[in-house]
Amino acid sequence: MKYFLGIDAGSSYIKLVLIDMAGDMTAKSIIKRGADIGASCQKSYVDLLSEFKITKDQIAGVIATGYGRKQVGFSDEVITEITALAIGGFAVDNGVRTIIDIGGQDSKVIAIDESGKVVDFAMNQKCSAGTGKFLEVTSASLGVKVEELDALSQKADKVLNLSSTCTVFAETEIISYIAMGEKKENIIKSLHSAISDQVIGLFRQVAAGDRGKILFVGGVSLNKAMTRELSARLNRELLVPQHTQYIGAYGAALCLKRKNETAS
Amino acid sequence: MESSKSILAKIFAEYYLSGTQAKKDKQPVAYVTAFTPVEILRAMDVVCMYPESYAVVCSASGKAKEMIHSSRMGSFSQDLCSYSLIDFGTEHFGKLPFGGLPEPDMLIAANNQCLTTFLWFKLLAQKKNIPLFVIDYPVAIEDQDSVREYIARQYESLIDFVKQHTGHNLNTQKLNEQVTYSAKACDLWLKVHELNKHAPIRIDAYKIVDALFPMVAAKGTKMACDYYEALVSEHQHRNDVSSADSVRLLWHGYPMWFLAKKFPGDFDEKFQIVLDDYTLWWNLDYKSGTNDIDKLIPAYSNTYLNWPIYKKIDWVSELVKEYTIKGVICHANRSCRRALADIAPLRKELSKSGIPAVIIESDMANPDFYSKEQVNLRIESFRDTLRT
Repeated sequence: MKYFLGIDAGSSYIKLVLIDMAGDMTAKSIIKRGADIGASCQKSYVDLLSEFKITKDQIAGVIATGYGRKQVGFSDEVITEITALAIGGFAVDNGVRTIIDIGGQDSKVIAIDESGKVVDFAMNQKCSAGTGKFLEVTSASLGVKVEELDALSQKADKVLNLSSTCTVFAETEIISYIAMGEKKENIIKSLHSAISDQVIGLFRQVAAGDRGKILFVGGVSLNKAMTRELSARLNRELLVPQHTQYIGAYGAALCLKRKNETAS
Repeated sequence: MESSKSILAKIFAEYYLSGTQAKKDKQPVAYVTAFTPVEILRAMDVVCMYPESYAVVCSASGKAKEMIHSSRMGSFSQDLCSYSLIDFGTEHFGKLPFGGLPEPDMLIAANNQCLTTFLWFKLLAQKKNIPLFVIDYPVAIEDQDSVREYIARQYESLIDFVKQHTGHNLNTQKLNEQVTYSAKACDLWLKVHELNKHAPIRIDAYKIVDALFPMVAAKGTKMACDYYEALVSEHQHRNDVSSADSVRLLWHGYPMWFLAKKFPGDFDEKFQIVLDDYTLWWNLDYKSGTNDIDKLIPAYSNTYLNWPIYKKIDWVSELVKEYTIKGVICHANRSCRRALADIAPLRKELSKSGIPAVIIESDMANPDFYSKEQVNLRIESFRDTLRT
């Protein structure tokens, strides 16, 4: 049996997906990124093969995507996350026309057409507002774990004004709110609202944003409070796929498989 | 015919030497903003120097970062226009490119590009205790007689102001020469751009950016015209710059002066920037008007940055059609608020006509605001979008 390996070398996590010749996801792994992205990917690759008892000879090709894609020395190809997410998202559900991805250090909205082709995209600019890092830093200053955010957010009774443009300033504001005795739950709800502001800004920039299904992917989509907030603000249902953190790696592997099929 | 390279070197040398020589000869020196009607000043024997152009030189020579740091030591915020920060930084800086600009005797600012330049010059005037003259150009919505008269009166006051501070009169023959050469240089400048109007392109867009200097600092001269004539002649038959089927891109807005090729990203012959609309901002209209002073009214009031947003969008959309552009890269240059304001509506409008556009956030002169990886990712993704 032969496989294609997709590696998504993200800013926070490295995700690996193996697909078989039929395009089905047969193995996956995720590790926190180390200082040396190339070495982290190499180790993750070796561990994945060992865990699933696959030899290197069975790997028909390796493709890398994500922020650290060019540092994956052993990959045969590289593609951008935009393309990888579009391919992966469309493979999950061909009714999808918009993909929202909130990752560790960036967020993006991608519009695709009925053939899965990217027609437009928008990304956050040079700051981490509207990203997973924003949530990570700000929730840490409240002493709350990311997995507690959903339950706490549901207990909020108001939304506070928070800077939606700077993680550092938002953290300072949170400290002020804590000092003023504001409820933790309200601050958490407000954090989600601030991220939504950023993502909705991107969503509105993208031409096809109001057509078809919306797929919400990336690590932050695991946070149900975020999905709920975004869905309410957009007044649209958001689909969160089963392997939401792996859609980029999966799309990359599918891209390589298709390239190989075309070449042969 | 003398090569364009050789003429450009002479133009640079002449411009910088003219400043030094003027100080020796006690000839008056004025600092001017980029869209000041210098033809009037030169016709009154005033040597004009452009601090914005000098900031470009400093940025291109890799000095911007240190200079901006120096200006911040003088308590200027990094959020100000990077050209002004570079200029403020020169005061505390050691060895300056070309030895720096000569000390000005007067300052002439026009608000047809932005309000920052006027405030920047106001600060210089206070600091150096020298006179400042400001020309107010109302936003160029349409050609109105009252606006023309308003600007004409200011030109009269400008002539009086220069006369009062230098004792020089306006030499109408010199003015005519200046205006004639400026008009000719603009025609030739347009021809340089039109080399890339159809595939295959004849000249790299970054080389057009490199060729801008005479258009800014020497356009009322024969040498500038000779330069552009040589440039057109050297490139008009070239067919080795791109392949005929390359994806034609428009760069919207300021180049990044600190980059060797002025634009980020890895472009090859298959994906090429064929035009940067910024360089066409200097293609001024000297053709309307009954006399030389009159011609300088539309030339300097009808500038890109002085247009309302809808007019800017129409103009760029027209360029997209004329140059058969397939995608637009918009530079959201944090230094220039007037240029920044049109980017989001422009992107929306282009998208309606099926032209994809991507926005990248950076700065024209301050490399601290340039994140290579982030910018490259956006450009690569954009290429993928155009390719698939």
